[in-house]
Amino acid sequence: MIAIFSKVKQYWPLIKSLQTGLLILTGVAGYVSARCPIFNLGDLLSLIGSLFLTVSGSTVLNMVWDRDIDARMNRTKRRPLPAGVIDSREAWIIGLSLSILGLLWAIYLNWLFALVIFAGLFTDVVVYTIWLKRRTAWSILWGGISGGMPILAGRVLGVGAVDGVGMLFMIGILFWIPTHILTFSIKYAEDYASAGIPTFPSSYGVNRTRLMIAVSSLLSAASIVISGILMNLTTGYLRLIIVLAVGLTGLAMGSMFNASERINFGLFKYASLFMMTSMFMVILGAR
Amino acid sequence: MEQINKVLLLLVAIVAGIQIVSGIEGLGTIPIAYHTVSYGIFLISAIFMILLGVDIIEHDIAALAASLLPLGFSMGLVGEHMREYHLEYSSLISVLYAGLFIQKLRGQKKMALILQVLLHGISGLMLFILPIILLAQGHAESSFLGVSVGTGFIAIGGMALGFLKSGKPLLTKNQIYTLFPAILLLSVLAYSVGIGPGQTL
Repeated sequence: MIAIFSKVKQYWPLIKSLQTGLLILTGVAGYVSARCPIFNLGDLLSLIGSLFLTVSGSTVLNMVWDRDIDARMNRTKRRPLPAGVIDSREAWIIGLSLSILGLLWAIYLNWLFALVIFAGLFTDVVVYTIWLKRRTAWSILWGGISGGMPILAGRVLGVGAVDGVGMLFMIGILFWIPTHILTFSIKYAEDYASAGIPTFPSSYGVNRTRLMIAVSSLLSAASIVISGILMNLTTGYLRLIIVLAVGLTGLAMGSMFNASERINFGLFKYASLFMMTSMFMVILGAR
Repeated sequence: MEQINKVLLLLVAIVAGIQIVSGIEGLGTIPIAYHTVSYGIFLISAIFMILLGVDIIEHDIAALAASLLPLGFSMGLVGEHMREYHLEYSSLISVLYAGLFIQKLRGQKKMALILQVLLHGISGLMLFILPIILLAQGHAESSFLGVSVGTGFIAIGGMALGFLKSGKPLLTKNQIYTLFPAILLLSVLAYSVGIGPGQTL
């Protein structure tokens, strides 16, 4: 038992618990947006379980593949894999096992739901991490698509089909993810350069990257607000999402016209807060 | 920024968020829209101050956005309690605000200051006096006075900032930055007590 706990403790940093938690939250929001009040607690718990396993699994696989890059970057060189704390072959097996277990659980739940989750897993591990990340700065688009899959999967499980609201939710996440990645790529530009990773700042300059962050934040906010309207979200909760979206728009504009490190990083943090709060509002205000 | 101030600002954001979601539910569509703007300013400014620092309140854009706070509440109250004057009042306030916006953009500081004083003076007086009059006439619950109290707190914060910007500070910059989150919290709490369905008879 102690050995298992110590293994879990060792691997916990590999699954990026905050990011995984937020992606699971989006999946729950997608599900509850269609199935509220929740009639089937079993389905909800299975959704959380299968998402946890697949998202964690893909994150571990991502870490295994990128361990050489992580070793060259100051920000990431102390992660368990580049630091040599965890054996990469063992991590590979665990990442693959978690992903397969999560997919099997998803297939047991609903085949279309499983298909969407598989699309997310494939896009994240194969298209984004293995194929494009080291080749083009535009790889983040695929990172965004894979990040949008949990909310689409949740919606699919609730509705039983891929619908417009689910797609808009996915687009909302798709445009939110570049805000994250691009802000990091500006803040840690030297790190990425030393690892040889093409980024927007290195390919198109910092100003265009800031413009890209602002535009993607605006598109993310608009998609989430429109999704809220289309899903007939309770007006009070919709009002709060709109207010937060206005704040995001204001900060995005500020970062375009009055660019600074402080505003840029503030936008990054605000965008995360916006997404988390919006997801809670969708969960609480669905009817 | 000290942790206690971050906690106070977080409380401001939470209280404003609760008011937006449920506190103003049951009022008419127009008051809800205006009050959402004002509580939205409380919410967004509190989050911005946590993320970017309290000193953002000195920025010109922050001053423009902050002006919406008394405007929204006052137009909401006029829309609810003085419907016959709503069009005239909102037209006057909108024209003044548009003027302020344009003067700020053009960098006309003196003209912008005059418009700002007019705008805050009119909306502030409306917010301070209307609840007292309605209470005196027996048309409101005593809790409606929360609006006047909230306006008083906002006025204290606004004046302290105004004197600071004009170069004749009543308090030092650090003292104002330290007190500002508490003033915001007291103000949003007072407005929450005063604004809502069933406050007027």
